[in-house]
Amino acid sequence: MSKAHLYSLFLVIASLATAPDAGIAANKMPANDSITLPPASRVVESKNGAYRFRIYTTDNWRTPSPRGTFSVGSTSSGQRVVWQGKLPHPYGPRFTLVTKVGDVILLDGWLNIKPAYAVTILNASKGSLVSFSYEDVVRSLRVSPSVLAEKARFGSWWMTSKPSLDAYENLALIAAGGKMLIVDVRQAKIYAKP
Amino acid sequence: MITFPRTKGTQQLIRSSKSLLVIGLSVLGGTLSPVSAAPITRYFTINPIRICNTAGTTCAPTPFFPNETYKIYSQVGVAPIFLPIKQINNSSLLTVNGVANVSVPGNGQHPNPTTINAWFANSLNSAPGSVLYGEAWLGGNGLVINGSAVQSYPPSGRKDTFAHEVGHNLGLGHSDFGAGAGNNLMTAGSSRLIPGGVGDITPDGANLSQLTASQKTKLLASPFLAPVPDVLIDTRGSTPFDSNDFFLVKFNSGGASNVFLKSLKVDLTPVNAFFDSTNISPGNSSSPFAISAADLIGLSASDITLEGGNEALNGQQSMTLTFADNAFKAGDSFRFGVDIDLFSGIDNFGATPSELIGSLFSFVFSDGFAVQSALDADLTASSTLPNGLPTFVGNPSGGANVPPGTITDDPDPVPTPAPAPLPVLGVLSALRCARTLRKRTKIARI
Repeated sequence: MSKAHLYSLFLVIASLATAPDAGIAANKMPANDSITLPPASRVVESKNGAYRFRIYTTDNWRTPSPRGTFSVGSTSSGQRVVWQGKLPHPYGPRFTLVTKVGDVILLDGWLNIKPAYAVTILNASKGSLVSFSYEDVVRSLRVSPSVLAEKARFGSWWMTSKPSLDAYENLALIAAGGKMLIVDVRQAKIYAKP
Repeated sequence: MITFPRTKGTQQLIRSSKSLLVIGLSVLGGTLSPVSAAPITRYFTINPIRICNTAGTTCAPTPFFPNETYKIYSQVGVAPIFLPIKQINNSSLLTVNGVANVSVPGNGQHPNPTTINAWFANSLNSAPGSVLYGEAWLGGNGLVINGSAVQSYPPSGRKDTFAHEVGHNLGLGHSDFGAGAGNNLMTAGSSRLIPGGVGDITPDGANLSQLTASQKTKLLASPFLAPVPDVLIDTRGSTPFDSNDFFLVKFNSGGASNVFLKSLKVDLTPVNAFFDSTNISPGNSSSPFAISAADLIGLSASDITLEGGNEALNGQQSMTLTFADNAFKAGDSFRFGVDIDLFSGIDNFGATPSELIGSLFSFVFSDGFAVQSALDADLTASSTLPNGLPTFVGNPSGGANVPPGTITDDPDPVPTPAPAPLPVLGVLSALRCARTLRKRTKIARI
C-alpha cells in the first residue's frame, strides 16, 4: 500500500472517530438568521462572447453598493470598457443576462426584499437604460403580491424561475405568479405572456 | 454617461444624461396596516439587553421592530411584551460570535426563567462571505441580534429577524413544522422573503412571515408563553346617566392561576367626553359613580375603589378603579354607572353608547400584564383585543425553568394536537346578542 493510500485510510479512520462528537456539537448549535453574500466579482458574458458585464465590490462588501462594468470584445481580441458605474441594487442584481447585441438585463436584487429595480435593461452602446420596479411587475402580471410571493423562489419576491433568453435573444422570459413575464429588450417594455 | 435614477417605483427611460422621460406607471399603494385587531390568548415577555462599551458611551442599536414583531405573532394570538431596555457595559461583548458568548450569568439576564433574554450586540462574527443577523437557542432562553446589520439592512432594517429568533426560542427550526417556503417566518435567511414593514406581513400585502398550523401548535406549547386574562367591558342602555349598571365588567377566563385584576382605567379623551359625577361645573345635572349591588358576582362593593371618589372624578376625562388583592378573578363580574357628558353637549342627553366608541379601557393584572383596549363598534372592549402594544407593570416572575442552550433541535419534536379553541368568541357573541334585547328606554335630561 502506498503512502498516499495509507494517508487516505488514516483520514477516513480519523473522521469516523470524531464523527459522533462532531454530531453532538452540531446539534447543540443554536439556530440563526444569516445570508450568503455574492462573490466579490461576477462576470456574465453573452453567448457569442462579444459582450460581458461585470458586477463587483470595491470594499469586499463592507458596504452593499456594487459597481458594474460593461465591456465589448472577446478575451482573445481584447476588451474595451464601454460603461461603468454604480449599481443601485444592494449587493447587486440576483440574475444578469447579456444578449448577443449587447443588451444587459439585470433582474431582482441579491437581498430578499421588495426590489425597487425588479427589471433593468441597459444598453450601454445606445446610452439607454430602462428600469421597472416591483410594482410595475405586479401591474404587468396582474397578480397579487401574495400570490407572487407564494410562488416565488430563490428568495425573490416575484421570480419563480431563473430568467432565460429566447432564441433570438430579443426577449427574456421569467415565470412569476403562475404566469410568464416577458421582458422585450428591443422595445424596452415588460408584459405578461398573453 | 448613464446613471441609474434615484427615483424608485416608476418605470424610467434614460436616453442620455440630459434627457429623462418618465413613463407614468403608478405605484401601488404601500400603506401600513395598524396593529392587528386579532384576539390574543397568550403573551411572552422579552428582556432587551443593549450591549455598550465599557465606558457606557457607545451602544449597539436595538432594532427589535415591535410593531412588526407584534403583527407577526398576532397570527397565532400571541403578544410580545417588551420590558424596559437594560444596558450592560462590556466592550468585549460588542462583537461576539453568537448567543453562547452572551448568555452567561451576569450579562443582564432577567431573573424570571420564562422571560426571553434578547441581547443586542453591535455586530456578530460570521464566516467569510456571509452575514449573521441573529442567533438563538432552539427551545432555550436567549437570543442575540446583530444590531448594526439588522438596523442598516436595506431599505429600512431587517424587520423580521427579531421575530425569527424568538421563533427559535419558542421551539421552531428552519425546516421543521412546515417551514421552508419564502413566505414563512422560520425559513432560513438565505431564502426567506423579508417584509419591508407591517404592510407586508400576513394577512396583508405580500402575506409574508407566515406560520404553518404545525408551527402554531408547536409554538403555543412553549413554556415561555403565559395566558392572557380575558376581561370584557360591555354596555347596556342608552345613556350612563342615572345608572349604576351601564357598564359590565366581566372577568371571563384566562390568565395564570390566581391572577386578578388590579386596576381598570377608563379614558374618555378620544371621544372628548368627561365624567359628570357631581352637580358642580362643568356639568350641573349629574349622577355619581355607583355600583349595582344586584350585579355583584364573586366580589363585593367594598373590593372596588374609585380613586379620588366622586368629587375628584367630576370633570375629569379618566377614571381609575382599583380592586382589592385576590378580589376580582375569573368568573367574577360587576356593573357600574356614572354620568358621562360630551364636551360638545354638556348636560344634554349624555353620551350614548355609540358616542363612546373609541373610549379606552386599560387593564392591569396582578401578574403584571397590562393592556389597553378601545370600545369598538359592538360597544364592547376586551383585554384580549389590544389597542396598541400590551405592556408589563413590574417584573415577570414564575414559570418553568428553561435553562439556556440545553435544548437542541435533534430530534425534531413531534407536533402535538392543537388545543381546544377558547370560548372567548362564543361568550362575546352571546353577550352582544343579549345586549340588543335589553336596550333601556331613553331618559330625557331636564
